[in-house]
Amino acid sequence: MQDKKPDINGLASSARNGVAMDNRIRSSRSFTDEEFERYSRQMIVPGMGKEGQLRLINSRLLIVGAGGLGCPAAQYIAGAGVGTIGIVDGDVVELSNLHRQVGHATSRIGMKKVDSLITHLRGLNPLPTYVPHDSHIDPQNAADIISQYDVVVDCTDNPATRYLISDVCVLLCKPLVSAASVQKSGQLIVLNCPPTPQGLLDRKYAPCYRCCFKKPPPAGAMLSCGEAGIMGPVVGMMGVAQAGEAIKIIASALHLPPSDPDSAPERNLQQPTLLLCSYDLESAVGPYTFRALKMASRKKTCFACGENSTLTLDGIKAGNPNYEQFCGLAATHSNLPPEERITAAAYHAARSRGELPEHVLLDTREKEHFSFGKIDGAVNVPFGKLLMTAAAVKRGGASTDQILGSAELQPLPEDAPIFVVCRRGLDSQEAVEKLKELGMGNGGKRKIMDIVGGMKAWKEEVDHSFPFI
Amino acid sequence: MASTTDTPVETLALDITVDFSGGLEMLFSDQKRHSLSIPAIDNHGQPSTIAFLIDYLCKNTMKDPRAELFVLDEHIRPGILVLINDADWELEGEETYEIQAGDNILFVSTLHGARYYLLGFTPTYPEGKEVASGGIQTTVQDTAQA
Repeated sequence: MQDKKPDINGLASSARNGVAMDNRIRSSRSFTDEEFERYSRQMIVPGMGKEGQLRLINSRLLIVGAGGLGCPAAQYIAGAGVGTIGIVDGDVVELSNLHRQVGHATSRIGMKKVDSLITHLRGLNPLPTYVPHDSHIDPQNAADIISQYDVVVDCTDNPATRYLISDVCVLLCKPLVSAASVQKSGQLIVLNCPPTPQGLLDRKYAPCYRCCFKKPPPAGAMLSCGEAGIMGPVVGMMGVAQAGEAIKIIASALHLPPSDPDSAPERNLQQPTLLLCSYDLESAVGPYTFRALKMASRKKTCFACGENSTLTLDGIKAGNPNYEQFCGLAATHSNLPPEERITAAAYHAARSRGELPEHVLLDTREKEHFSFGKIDGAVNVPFGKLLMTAAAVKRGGASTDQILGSAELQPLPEDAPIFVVCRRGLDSQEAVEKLKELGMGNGGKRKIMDIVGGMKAWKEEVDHSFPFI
Repeated sequence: MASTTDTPVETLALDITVDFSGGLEMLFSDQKRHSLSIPAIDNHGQPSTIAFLIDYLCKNTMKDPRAELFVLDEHIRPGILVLINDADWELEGEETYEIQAGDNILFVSTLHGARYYLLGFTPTYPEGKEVASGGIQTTVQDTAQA
C-alpha cells in the first residue's frame, strides 16, 4: 500500500514522513462512483469534505482488540472508509461475548475474532483493506505491528497491554485513542495527539497514558473473585466514541506532522479531556451520566514521553520495562496448607458417601451469581459482606455468630466444619484465613476448609450442567 | 465568655458534594453522590484541604472496612483520579488544594478493562490455565473482555 522510504532517520520520523508523502501524492486522486455514493452523506458534513474523506481513504488505522470496544469501533471506522484497517486479537469468539461484541455472530462461535470481525466488516464495506493480526499484542511484536499504521485505537482489556501500547505509540509518534469499560462505567481519552516526539516539553503537548495514569492500581487487594460483568451499551458507547475520535484525528490530519511546525505552534493543543460514562441501572440519563474531565498535559517527569526518558523500542523488546511486574500480574499461590483444602470432586464424593459430619457450606459469591444456582444447602454470604462483618467483630461491634448470617444455622456445634466455596477459588481462601483469624476454628476443634477452584471446578468436576456464571 | 456573637471559627462548615465513580461507590454505601458538610478548618487551625477531606471521608463516610482500596500510606491509592470541579487535581494543587464551599470533588477509579480487574484491582488465579494475554503470561480463566 505505502511506498515507504528506507529507514534513515529512525523509525518514528520515517514512518511519519512516509505517511505525509503518501497523502500528498494521493490527495489528487478522484473518487470512484461507488466511493462517491457510499461516503456522500459524511462528505457533505461541514469540515469533512473531499479532503477529509481522502485522508480517511489514504490512512491506515490499527484496532487492538476485537471485543466489546473493538467491534463497535471497527464498524464505524470501516463504514467511514478508512483505507487500511488492521485488527489485532488472539482470541476466538465465545457465546458469552455476543451480548456486547456485536461484530461477531452466533454462527461464528469458535472462529478467530479477527476473522469473524473482518467477515462482518466486509459485509458492511468491502472497499477497505483489512489486515488480520491473529495473536495478542506483546512486547515482541508491538512495534512491528504498530509501525505499519497511522493511528492506534486501544480496545484491549488489561492494564499491562495498555501501558505497552501507549509506550510504543509514544516512541513511534502515533496518536492513540484509548477507552476502557467495566461493569457500568466507561472511560475514553485521546492520547499523544498530535503526536509529539519523546522528550519534547517546550509547549503544553498532549499527554500519554502514563502521564494520565502514572501507576496501575496495586495488585493483590482484589475485591471479589466474581467477575465484574459488563453492560453491552456502555462498552458499545465507548467503542463508538473511539471511532468518532479516530475519524476526527484522520479527517483533520492530526496524525500527520504539520507541514510547517512554526506556523501552527499551538495546533490543536487542546485541553486533554477524559470522558467518563457512568451508567445507572436505576435512573434515566442524569447530569452526571457523562462527564468531561480536564486532564493535565504531557508531564516533564513522565517515564515514557518526559524529559530524560530512557524508554526505547529495543528496550521494550528486551523486556524493559517489565509490564507484567509493573502491573502486578505475577500469579500468587495459596498460602493455605493442603489439609485445609479439598477439591470439589472430593467434597462431593465424601458428601454423597455420607462421610461428612453436619457442616456449613458457605458460598461467598455475589448474590447475583448465587441466584443462578448453588450447591444444595449452601448459605450465601457475599465476600464483601463477610469482610465487613469480620471487621465489625474485630472492633467488638458484632459476634462471630453473625458472620454466617443465617439464624437457622445457630447454634452450630463447635466442631461442625465449615467449607467455603466461591466462584473460582480465590475469595474462599481469603475467607478461610479470615474465619480462622477470628477464632472460628475453636482452637482446632473445627475444620475450616477451602473448596479448590470454586463453583467453576464444581461444574467441571461434579455437575457439568451447573449454570456457572 | 459566651458573649461573643461571632461564630467560632471551628464550627464553620463547608457544604460540598463528593462523587464516587468507576466502582469506588461500593466502598461508600453504594451511593455515588454524597452531600457533605465538612469543617472549614482542620484540627491544626488550617483551611481544610483535599488531604483533610480524604482523611475525613475514611473516618466519617466510608462504611466499608477496606480503606486500603481508597488510601495507601495516607495518600489516595494509585489508580484513583481526583477531580476538583471536573479538573484533574494536578491542575489545582493536588492534596494542598483548599476546599471552597460548593466544590464538587470526584474520586474515580481508573478503568483498564474487565480482565483481572474489579475496582481496579488484580485478582490472581491459582488454578487457571496458562494463556497468553497481551503477551502477558498469566493464569486466567473465563473472563469478560472489554
